[in-house]
Amino acid sequence: MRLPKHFGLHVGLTSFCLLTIYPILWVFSIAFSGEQNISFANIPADPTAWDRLRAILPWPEQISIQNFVDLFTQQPFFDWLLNSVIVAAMTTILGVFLACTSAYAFSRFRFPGRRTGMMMFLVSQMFPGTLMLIPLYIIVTKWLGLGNSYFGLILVYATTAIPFCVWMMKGYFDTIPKEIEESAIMDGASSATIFWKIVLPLARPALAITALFSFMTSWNEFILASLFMEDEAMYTAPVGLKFFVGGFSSQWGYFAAGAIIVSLPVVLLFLYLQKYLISGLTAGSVKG
Amino acid sequence: MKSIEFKNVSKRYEDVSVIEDLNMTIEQGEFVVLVGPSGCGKSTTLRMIAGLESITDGDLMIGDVRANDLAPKDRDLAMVFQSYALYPHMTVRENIGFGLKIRKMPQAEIDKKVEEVAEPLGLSQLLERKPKALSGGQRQRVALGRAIVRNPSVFLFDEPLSNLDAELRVQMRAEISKLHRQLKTTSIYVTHDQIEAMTMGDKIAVLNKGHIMQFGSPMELYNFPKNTFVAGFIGTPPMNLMKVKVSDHGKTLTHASFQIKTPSRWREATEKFDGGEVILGIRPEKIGLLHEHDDWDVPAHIFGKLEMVETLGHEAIVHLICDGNKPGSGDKILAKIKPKNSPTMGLLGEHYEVTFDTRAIHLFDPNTEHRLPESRFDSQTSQEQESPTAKQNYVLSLESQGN
Repeated sequence: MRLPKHFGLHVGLTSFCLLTIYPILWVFSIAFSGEQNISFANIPADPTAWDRLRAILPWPEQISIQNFVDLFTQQPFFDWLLNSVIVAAMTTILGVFLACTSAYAFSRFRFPGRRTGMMMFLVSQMFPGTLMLIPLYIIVTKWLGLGNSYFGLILVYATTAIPFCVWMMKGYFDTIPKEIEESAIMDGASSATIFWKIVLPLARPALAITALFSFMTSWNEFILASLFMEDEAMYTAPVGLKFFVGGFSSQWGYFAAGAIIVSLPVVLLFLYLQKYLISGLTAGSVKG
Repeated sequence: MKSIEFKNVSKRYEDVSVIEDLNMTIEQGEFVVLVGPSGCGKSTTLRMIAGLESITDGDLMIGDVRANDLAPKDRDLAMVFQSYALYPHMTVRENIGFGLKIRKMPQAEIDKKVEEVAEPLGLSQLLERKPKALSGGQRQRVALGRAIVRNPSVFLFDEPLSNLDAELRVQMRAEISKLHRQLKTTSIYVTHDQIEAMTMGDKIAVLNKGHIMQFGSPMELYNFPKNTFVAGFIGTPPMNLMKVKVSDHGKTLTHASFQIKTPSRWREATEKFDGGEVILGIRPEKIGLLHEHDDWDVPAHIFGKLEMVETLGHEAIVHLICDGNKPGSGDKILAKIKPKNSPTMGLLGEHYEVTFDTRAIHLFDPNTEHRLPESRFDSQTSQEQESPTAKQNYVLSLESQGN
C-alpha cells in the first residue's frame, strides 16, 4: 500500500503543532477549571492506563468561569490591567512618534553623525536588556526620581524600543520613492505636509509593525516593571500574574485566567493591524 | 509663460563635475528638449530649474528673477516625472487637486478645475480611482493633469514616456505636443530618445558629459551637426563616421573602400589637412543602391562584406564591413535600401556594393571632432565641375557586370 504523498511531512508537522498547542490547552484547562490546582486527576496507587492518560489530558473535571470572575472581584487584577494599558499605550504613542520622525530624518536627510547614529542604535540592540537594569534603575529612580511611576516606566520602555523601531521605519521609508516627495515639493507642499500627508499614510504597514512591537514589548515585559513598580497598586499585569504564583502562594487558576486575559489584547491588536501589514501599499505610484 | 536663462551655470558634487559652464536661453513659449546619453547631466539641468538640485555656480534666471535661491514652490513650475510619482493613497481627483489644496483654494473651485482638466485628458470617468487601478498611460495622464491644473509658467518633463510601451508612447507624444500648442507654456523636456527630441522640440539641446554639444532646431542639428557627437546622436541609425585620408591639396578623400573628390565647399578646410586625415560622416539614408536614387548626381561606391540585413518593412538596413588592407578597413557602414532590393540572407559574408551621395557628406576635424568650416559655394555648380559623367559611367560599369 502506498502512503499518500507528503505523509511523513504531515505527520511531522502535526506533531509539532500538537507540541505547541499542548501547553496552551493546559493554560485554558486550568483557567476554566474553577480551581487553583495544577493537576486535575488523582492517580490511584495502582494506576491503570486510563488513569495515566487522564493525568496528562488537559481537560478539567468541571468547566467554570469562577477564576475569571474572582480575578476582577477578589483580586486587584483590573487595576494592574489598567496600569498595563496606560503604560503600553503611552509607550506605543511616544515610541512610534519618536521613531518615525527620527527614522524619516535618517532616511531622507544627510547630516553629520547620520551613520554613527544609526550604528549606535544597532549596537544598543546587541546587549541583553538585563545588562541595563542597574544603570536604568539609577538614572530613572535615583536621578530623575521617577521610580514607581507610569512616566518612569514609559520612558524606559520607549528608550529600549526606539532603536529597533527606527531601523524598522527607516528601512521602510527608504523604499518609498523619492519622486513622490519631490512631486509634492513641486506641488508646493511644506516638509511637514509631505511627512504627515504623504509619507506617513504610505508607511502604514511599517507603522503597524512598529506600533505592535512597541505595544507588545511593554505589555509583556516583566523584569523592568517588577524593578520599577514597587507598590502593589502600580503593578502591571505581568508583575501581578507573578504575584499569584510567587513566594508562598500557588493560585494557578488565577494565574492561568490572568494569562489568557493578558494575551487577548495582543491577539486582538494583531488581528486588527493585520490588514495594514500588507505590503505593496505603494503599488501604482511609480512604475513597478 | 516665462523665459529661462542659464548664465555660466555649473553643478558639482564635491569633486565630481556634472554640469560645466552651461549657457542657454529658453524663450517664452518654446518647447525645448534636452537630449543626451545616460549621465550627461540632462536630468540634473532640469532638476536645477525645478529647484530640486542646488546650483554650485552661475545664475539661473526664470523670467527676470534670479532663481538660484528660490524655493521650488515659488518658481511657478510644474513637473512630470518619469515614474509618474502619483500619490498612491489618493484618488485621481485628490492627486490632481493636491497642489490646489496646498494653496488653500476652496474645495468647490478645486473640484471644478480638476474636472475641467480631467475632461480633455479622458480621466473624467476615473476620478474616484486610485493610481493602482489605472494603466500606465492613464497614470501618466494623471501626472500631466496634476501639472496642468495649476496653470504654471513653465512645464518640466523628466523622461515622461520612458515607462510606456511603444504604441502608447507615440500617442502620448502627440498629446503632449498638442497640449503645448494649446497652452503655449514654456516647456522643457528631458529624454534620451532622439526621436522624441526630433518630433517634439522647437529646439533641441544635445548634452554630453555636462556640456552642451549643440543647441538649435531639430533640422539644424540633423543637417549641420556641430561635432561628431551630435552627428552620431541625432538620426536613426546614427551617421556613419570614418577616418579618410586627405591628399592632392585637399581635393581627394580616400578610404579603404572608396575614393572621392572633395566637394568644393569643403576644399578650403581640407587643404589644411593635406597629407593627414579628417573624419567623414555620411548618413545611412544617403547610402543606398544607385538605381533607387536618381537625384544623386555625384555618387561614389563602397565595397564591403555584407554582415547583416535588418528589414523594417518600409526599409532595410544593410550592415557592411569595409575590407581590404588599407587604413579604414574594418569600418562598419550602415546603408538604407528599399526592402524589395534587400539582399537575401544567402549573401551574408559575400561582397556587396552600395553607393553614396558625395554631396551629402559631413567633415569633421579628427582632433577636436568639430565640424570643418564650409564655404558658401553653390554646391550644384561645384559638383558639375567635379564629375559631370560620374553617374553615367557608374551605370555603364554596372550594366557591363550584368547587374
